[in-house]
Amino acid sequence: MLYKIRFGIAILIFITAILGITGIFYPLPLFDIQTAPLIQRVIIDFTVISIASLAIILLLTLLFGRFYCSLLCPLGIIQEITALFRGEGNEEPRKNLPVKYFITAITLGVMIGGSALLIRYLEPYTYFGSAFTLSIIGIIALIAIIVLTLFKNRYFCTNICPIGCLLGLLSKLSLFKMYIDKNECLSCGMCERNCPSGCIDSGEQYIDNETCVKCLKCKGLCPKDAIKYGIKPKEEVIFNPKRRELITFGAALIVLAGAIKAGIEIGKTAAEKIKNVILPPGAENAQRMFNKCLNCNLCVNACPNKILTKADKDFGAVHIDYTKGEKYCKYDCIECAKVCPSGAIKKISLDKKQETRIAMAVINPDKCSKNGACIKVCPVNAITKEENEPAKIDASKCIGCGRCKTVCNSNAIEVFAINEQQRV
Amino acid sequence: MKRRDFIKSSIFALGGTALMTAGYGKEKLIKSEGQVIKRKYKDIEVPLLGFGCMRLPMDGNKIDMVELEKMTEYAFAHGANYFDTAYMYVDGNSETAIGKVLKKYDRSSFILADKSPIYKMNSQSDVRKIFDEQRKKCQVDYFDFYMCHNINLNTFEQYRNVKMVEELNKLKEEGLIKYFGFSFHGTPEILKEVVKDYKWDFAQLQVNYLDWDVVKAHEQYNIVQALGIPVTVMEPLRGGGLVNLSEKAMAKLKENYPNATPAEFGLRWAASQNNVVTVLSGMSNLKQMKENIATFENFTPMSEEEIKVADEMAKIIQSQGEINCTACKYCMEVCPKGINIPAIFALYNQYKVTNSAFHLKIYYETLSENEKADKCIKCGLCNKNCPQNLPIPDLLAEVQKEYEKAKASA
Repeated sequence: MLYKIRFGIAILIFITAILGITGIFYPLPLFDIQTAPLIQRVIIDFTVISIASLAIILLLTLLFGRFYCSLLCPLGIIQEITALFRGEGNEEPRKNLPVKYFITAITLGVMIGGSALLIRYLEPYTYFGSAFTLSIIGIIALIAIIVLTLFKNRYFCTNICPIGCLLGLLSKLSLFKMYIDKNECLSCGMCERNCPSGCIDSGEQYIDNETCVKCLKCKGLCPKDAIKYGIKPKEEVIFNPKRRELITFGAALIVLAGAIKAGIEIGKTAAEKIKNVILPPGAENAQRMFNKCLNCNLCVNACPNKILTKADKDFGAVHIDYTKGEKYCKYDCIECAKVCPSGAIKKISLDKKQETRIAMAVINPDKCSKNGACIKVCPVNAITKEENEPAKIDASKCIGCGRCKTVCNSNAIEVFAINEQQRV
Repeated sequence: MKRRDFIKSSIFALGGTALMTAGYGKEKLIKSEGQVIKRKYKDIEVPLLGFGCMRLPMDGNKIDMVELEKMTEYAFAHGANYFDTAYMYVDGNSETAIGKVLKKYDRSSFILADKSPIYKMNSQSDVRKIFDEQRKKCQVDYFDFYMCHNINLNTFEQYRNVKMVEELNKLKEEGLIKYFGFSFHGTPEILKEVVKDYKWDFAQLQVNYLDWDVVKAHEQYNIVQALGIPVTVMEPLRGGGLVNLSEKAMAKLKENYPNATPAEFGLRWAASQNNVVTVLSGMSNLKQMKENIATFENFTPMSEEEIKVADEMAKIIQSQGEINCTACKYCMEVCPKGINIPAIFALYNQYKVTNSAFHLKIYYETLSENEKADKCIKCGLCNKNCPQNLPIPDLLAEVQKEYEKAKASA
């Protein structure tokens, strides 16, 4: 019963997520409570709201275990849906491989150091986002994960995913745990054969809470109702790091420190040469955007003018392409900043957006047809024109929205990328 | 000794040391033999050489605080206690750095000048807000000299719109500003308007033997002198332009005064104008400071012959077609493409003097790709900020053209 309720909620969240990411309908800031963007937001702005949101997710994990993976993570739910096609009762228990600790240490470390370069290629929320906005990397990754799921259920979650690994470590210490009541258990193996995470050993009557995603499937299947979800009675030591585990964690910590240092370096050097790119208001500069954007592409579909574009060969993160969609940035719109869950596009107010220069329009006086069409559409009244003279842009007022270029019939206006977004 | 005793005694020792250092607080002034000459201004005495804080010693991207500390110490020891900073100097870090080094000295022992950035003012209330921010950054309660910064063709309107004079006069009446003036980079016509706005205590003008003609400094000087407004001199050496003289101009100087250095010559020229209170020089290292202070220790006004030589030198320099950039970097504050405009102009000027296309090419190529002239989009944002009113985008295009030529010929 609990399993069905949980699965039902998960499906609802999944549908909402798809509607949100495809830009059809975004009723609640679902993506603001995804773990990876939250971590990124804390790194970027360190505000009370972001810290509190992340703290809530982590505290809930400390209370109830890895609920995020089976309830909120869209990629987790996709895997669960996929697993419906692989039939029942054919799961196998699997080893908790230590490789994931190092993957986590490296990706999160580099992110903490200042660059999302690695995490955005290994993080479930981003995969989901980029796949559903038809980004090639996202689609390939999603297909790979689905295929993997058909062979080994939730293998990505238990042995690769850095977010899962992080939450798993907290889950290990959580108050509420899944455990088997040894007095009731018949060791029939029903739970073991159906556990998507492969974390139950029915012979040993043991559930590994680190990899358990709290899908609650086993609880409903157990014929003797021997699987409990609650505070585990103190029959054995809760956290008993064996020597091998200690060495692994020690090594992972060293790797983490190294990764943070590398992240600082990457943050400084990456994208230093890329300056010729126009960014959504609030992204500040190319280097920052390149290092902070998770490429979930939520903003790409949220943009009403469809000028935002996915990472391409020119720039490895979301950016503006004035040749697409309506070809200009809407003056009274700040949708991209509103939806951005990671804070890569700062949540600036509409007032501030209207004062933020994201590019610079320049009129070529030789080409200007002098019809004055641009003057009427400029939202900041930056363009003026004398009788029979070419139009002039007051550079100190121009915010680079590109509106003027869309109405110019003589191709005299060019909108240039600028190094750093400025306040006019 | 027991552990607890040890901890106790160490705490006492630490506390004692802290108290002692706090007690010492202000640095004692040690005066050395040679003193910079002083001129009487209203009820105070002002050293004829002031420390301009726009070109502070740098260590990479940061201000070299160790060198700055040494320079301040040296300046104090020689009576050069006038410091001239501004909101936007050294990317806005000059005030903080100066505040840090001056904190050690008694407030009455130095004269601090600061300026109100007109371009930052959107309303009248901003004036006081920024003033308070500046006091905080400089760690002082009041400013001795305070100016409306860089009144020129483009800022004049805004300066009047936000009623800076009205607002700053209030601050003066509150005793937070001792002497209220303005720094000026405009035309004589605008200056005539500005002087009507207030009974100014002083005017900061760009006075040197080259600009006497080029930016009509002569006319400006006469306008304020007629009204009895004393002048503080900025850019006496044109941001180093009058130090690195062309071969011809240098030859002219050496031919007449073999022992004179260009810096000394330029500074003395500016200080020789009798309505001048102080000559501000932006010194970037202790060596420059030592030289400049030596110039002002036994200062004698220029003779008529010397002034004649300066005139001739100005003519030579003008005939070389250099760009009148003083490397104030105000353009770079706004350039959306981050083009290194002053560096490009400096290269070009050097080329104009030496005529070496080879050097133009190799030096130009040391600039990073994003700093080069061909990145200019001709938006004209820089023009608004240029105190010298240079047509920067056109000049950049010209430099680019010369570079292409140099590249082709090499």
